[in-house]
Amino acid sequence: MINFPLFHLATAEAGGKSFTDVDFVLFVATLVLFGLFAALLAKFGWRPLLRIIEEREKNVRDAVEGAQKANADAEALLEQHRVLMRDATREREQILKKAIEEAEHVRDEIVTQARTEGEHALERARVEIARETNLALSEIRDQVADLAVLAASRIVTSSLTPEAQRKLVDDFITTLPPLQAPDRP
Amino acid sequence: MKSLPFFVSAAGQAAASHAVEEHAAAGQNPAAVIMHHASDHAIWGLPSRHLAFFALAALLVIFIVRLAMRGYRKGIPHGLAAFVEMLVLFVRDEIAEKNIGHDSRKFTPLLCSFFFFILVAAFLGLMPFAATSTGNIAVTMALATVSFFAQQYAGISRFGLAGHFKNLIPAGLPFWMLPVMIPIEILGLFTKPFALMVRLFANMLAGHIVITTLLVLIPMMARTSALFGAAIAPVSLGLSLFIMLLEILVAFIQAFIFTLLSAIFIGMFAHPAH
Repeated sequence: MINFPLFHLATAEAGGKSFTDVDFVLFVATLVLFGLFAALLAKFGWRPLLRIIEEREKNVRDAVEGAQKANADAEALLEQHRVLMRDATREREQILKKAIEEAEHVRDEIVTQARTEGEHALERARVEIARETNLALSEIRDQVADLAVLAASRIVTSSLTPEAQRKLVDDFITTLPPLQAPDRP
Repeated sequence: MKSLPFFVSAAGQAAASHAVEEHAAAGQNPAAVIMHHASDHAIWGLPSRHLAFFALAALLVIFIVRLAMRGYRKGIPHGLAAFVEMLVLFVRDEIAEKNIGHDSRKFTPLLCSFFFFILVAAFLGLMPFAATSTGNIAVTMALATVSFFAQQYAGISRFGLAGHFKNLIPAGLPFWMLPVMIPIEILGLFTKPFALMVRLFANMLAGHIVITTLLVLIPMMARTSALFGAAIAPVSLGLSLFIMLLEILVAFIQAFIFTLLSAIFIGMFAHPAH
């Protein structure tokens, strides 16, 4: 027995026995028992229990991480779609604008071409008309000459010599206005 | 001394009747009654009731923990398991992790054992006819010795025997201080577990002494006059009930303090720079 003199409080009355008297047998027995108890409990109690807890904590952590990852993935996907949509809209607008521009261009071209062609046709028609007119006039002139000759011959046959007749005709012809096409319209 | 009928009936309460029996046996000496109530003696044919209740507390803790492990379904604790897990997580995260750091896993089982054992032993001590094993200094000395070895193991396993003892000297100490500091630091090794031993022992003992004293007051007053005994009985019972409730709080606090200080000391030896 060890005595701690400092802890001898009011124990003198109790037959000199003190609470601070250390029972060494009890100390050693407790030490051995507690050692055994702590070792047993560590092996079959705390470690398996802590393993269960840690496993669950790991599962929770994994689940949270998985959810966060899925969330991030979904957001990235959403952003991607948003960009895609924006691009598609812009592209559609561009296509539409380009189509309109092209259509206007084609329309202008067609109108210009039509106008040109119309003018060409008109020009051709005018030239044709002028040529036909000239042709008709020269034909008329020939026929007039023939008719004149015929008429004159009928009139003059009886009174003039052939030389006089010729001179007469020639004089008539020279009085005719020169041949020319009418003015363009 | 004559025995009074009133005093027998007033002491119907379990602890009181216990005190009273001892009272009669110890020759009506209040100090002897208190001494008898708190000190170790034979019980149920066993040489030491403190050892018996120590073993009972230990078995109870093992039983509780094994029972708690059955309360897990798919890793989720139910009932008792949830309560045990709460305390285990508290010891692991708030006590071991914060004070020991990354070595804490090695010491968590021991700290859990300290915490649960001291808690259960204190609760057992509050039961009628039971004894508080941690109110015996030999028992707390054994617990403190285990804590002491754990502290030394923490230092030695990390720095080796020489490194561990070299760490006891604070860095940058002038050499002429060594003759003073070496004895102080060696003493410091032992004052830590000594403080643990005395704190737990004194706290566990004190509550029981107060409760016994309050109850012994009834027969003491009744010896003077039955009226005094009747007057003091409700006061004594009320106050001892209050102290009993306080003891529940103290049980948690002391389990926490012993475990926390053990963790802090282990952390001190494992990380001497701090």
